[in-house]
Amino acid sequence: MLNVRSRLKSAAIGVLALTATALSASAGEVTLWSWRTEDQAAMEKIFAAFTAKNPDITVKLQFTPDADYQNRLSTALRGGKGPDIAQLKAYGELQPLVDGGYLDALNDSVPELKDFTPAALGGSVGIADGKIYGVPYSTPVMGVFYNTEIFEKNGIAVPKTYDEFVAACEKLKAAGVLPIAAGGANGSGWALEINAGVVGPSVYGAGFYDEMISGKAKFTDARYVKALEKIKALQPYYSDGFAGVDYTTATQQFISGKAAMFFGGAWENGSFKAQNPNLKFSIFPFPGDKAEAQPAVSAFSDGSYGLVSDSENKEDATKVLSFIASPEFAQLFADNLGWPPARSGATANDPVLKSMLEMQANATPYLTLVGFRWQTPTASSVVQAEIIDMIEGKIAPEKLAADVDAAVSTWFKPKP
Amino acid sequence: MSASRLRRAPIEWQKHRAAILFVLPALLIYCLFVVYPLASSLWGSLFEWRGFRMRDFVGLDNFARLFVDPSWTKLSGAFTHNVFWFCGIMVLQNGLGLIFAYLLFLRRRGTAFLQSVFFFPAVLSPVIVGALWRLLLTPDGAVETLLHNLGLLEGRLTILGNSTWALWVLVAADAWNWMGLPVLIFTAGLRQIQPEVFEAARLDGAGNGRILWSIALPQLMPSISSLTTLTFINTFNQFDLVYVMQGVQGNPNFATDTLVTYFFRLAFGAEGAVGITDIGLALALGTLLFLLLTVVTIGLLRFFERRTVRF
Repeated sequence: MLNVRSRLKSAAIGVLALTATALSASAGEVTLWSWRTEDQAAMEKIFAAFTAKNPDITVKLQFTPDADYQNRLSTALRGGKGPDIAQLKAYGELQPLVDGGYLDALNDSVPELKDFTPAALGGSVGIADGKIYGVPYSTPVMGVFYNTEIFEKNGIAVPKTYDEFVAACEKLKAAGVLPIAAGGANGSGWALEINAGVVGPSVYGAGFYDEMISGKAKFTDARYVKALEKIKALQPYYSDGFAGVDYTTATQQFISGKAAMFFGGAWENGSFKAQNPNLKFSIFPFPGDKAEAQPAVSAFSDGSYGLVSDSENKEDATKVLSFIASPEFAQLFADNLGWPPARSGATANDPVLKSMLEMQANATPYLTLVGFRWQTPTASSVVQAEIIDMIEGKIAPEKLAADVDAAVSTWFKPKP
Repeated sequence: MSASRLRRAPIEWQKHRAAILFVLPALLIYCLFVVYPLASSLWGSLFEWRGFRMRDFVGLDNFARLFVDPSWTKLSGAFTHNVFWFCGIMVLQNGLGLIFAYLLFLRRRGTAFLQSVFFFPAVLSPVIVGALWRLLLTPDGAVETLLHNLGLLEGRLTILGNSTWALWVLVAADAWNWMGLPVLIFTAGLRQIQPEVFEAARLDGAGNGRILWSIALPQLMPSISSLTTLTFINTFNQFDLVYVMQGVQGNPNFATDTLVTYFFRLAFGAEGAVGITDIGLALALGTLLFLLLTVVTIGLLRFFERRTVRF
């Protein structure tokens, strides 16, 4: 009995000691939550640069895989146990946190935000009050990653028209190389939605987004259907056993040099390099029917870092956010991660990033995310669900377009 | 009658006090972890939710929204898949399980070993089973190689990405996982039947098939009853296998979507976007699912109660 009592006592002391350390740790320590487990090493490097200049503040990074992140964050915020700074999703997916009053607006506290373009800030604005709730970190573009060695070996130049692109695929297939790594198995619909983001602008151009938002055009528009038809027409060049290959397998096919091309967003740059430093690859915009100097590509704000209202360490956290909004951070971000930073003006020391920044010159918002992921049923939920069957030929492209239109019509109001 | 009862009541209290004291801790835990969450989700289903915050009282509006599009297509699809799953398990797992159990019963030797063989997959978590079958069924996987060698398949095996057949595969994997359960229950049930009954039937010239159909089956009603009820509850709560093998969207094109995966998407915001939740709709669905399970389970138990043969 005595034994048990003394044990309980020591346990209680232990708990007290723990809370004491937790409390003392929060002074000068800013916790930051992120879902980019892939970027952990790079992020630690970036924030070490901050601590070197601000020795009294350390940034404690905590990573949760993307699939569980939003759930963990919202649960923690509801319980008042959230971080000081949270990585935030963009556009419609940010709004529930703004609505719930979990975040502070940053318009006054982070003056550096004035140096960002409206396109870069678009993803972190609260739709109800128009205030900025996060410091954006990247505006990725989407395009065709290609293995430069395979292209050279087969004597293929970067295709300038759609016909050249198909001819390149044929040539690769004849040479026994998998032309495009892509698959739709086990929840890979989101990756195939990105295929639509890669191919789309080559058909409907940079002006289509505004037509869609103002209600002049709808998803049933011939241009959108044609983009879907093109995605379907490339089926012979996708991974063998397309319906059984998932996103992870497809990335591995490209990283290991088995596949010549991969449709993806800028964020793949860093993780491809990290997984295979010897891979020689670059990126080009998906070409349209006619050769253009700079074809249109999809771009969007990937997310931002926001200040949690319940934070007890706002002063230090705001300093960290100001750093994230600084040119120095943009440069570190470009050098260590290789995605286009949200703040323009960084120098691209990486050739792939350089191509991406050139592509940004003719960017149009990533249609299904920027325009139609605000309320359920989102355009994405229909595209992700049906695109596999469409490529397999079970659903006509017109039907998919009509289903997307019907889904978003339940809530979407055009803004003339 | 009632007066005498009243007079005896304090004595009964005395008698039951110890029992109540013993039950109380379990009851408290039950209330805390079962009754309270149930009640709060019932309560929450009557409100409008924005993000994760309860807003205005809307009565039965969430329930009404479940039964109109865009929700209705998903709800009816998921319900159909659950019903299909239940029928598939009844035939594949319990039907086959009965035949296996009967064969074991006739064999009488080496049954213990064979029973453990049947039961082995059931000790694995459905998550592991799902991951295992996913690996086996990938293009270039073991099953594809086997089918190639047998000459039954040309090209790649992409059955999990096929919206026509994916659900069949999942049901088969689930049946494989739990095959040991009906075998175990039916073998025990068969052993409980008096051997004289079987002997008498044999003397009358009944064959094995006849004995199974006319003698064993009617007497196995209690086993069939509990298995059917368990199968019903398990198939209508099906989540883990779908989550592991096809993702929370019930890929491809919601072909393997179940009521619980749909609930998960509504509650945790995975309906084509992260973070956009519809908790009111999710709680309404959860409440309906609870009611459905309760009502049908009671119905099933009563149905079998009336069909149980007693000697």
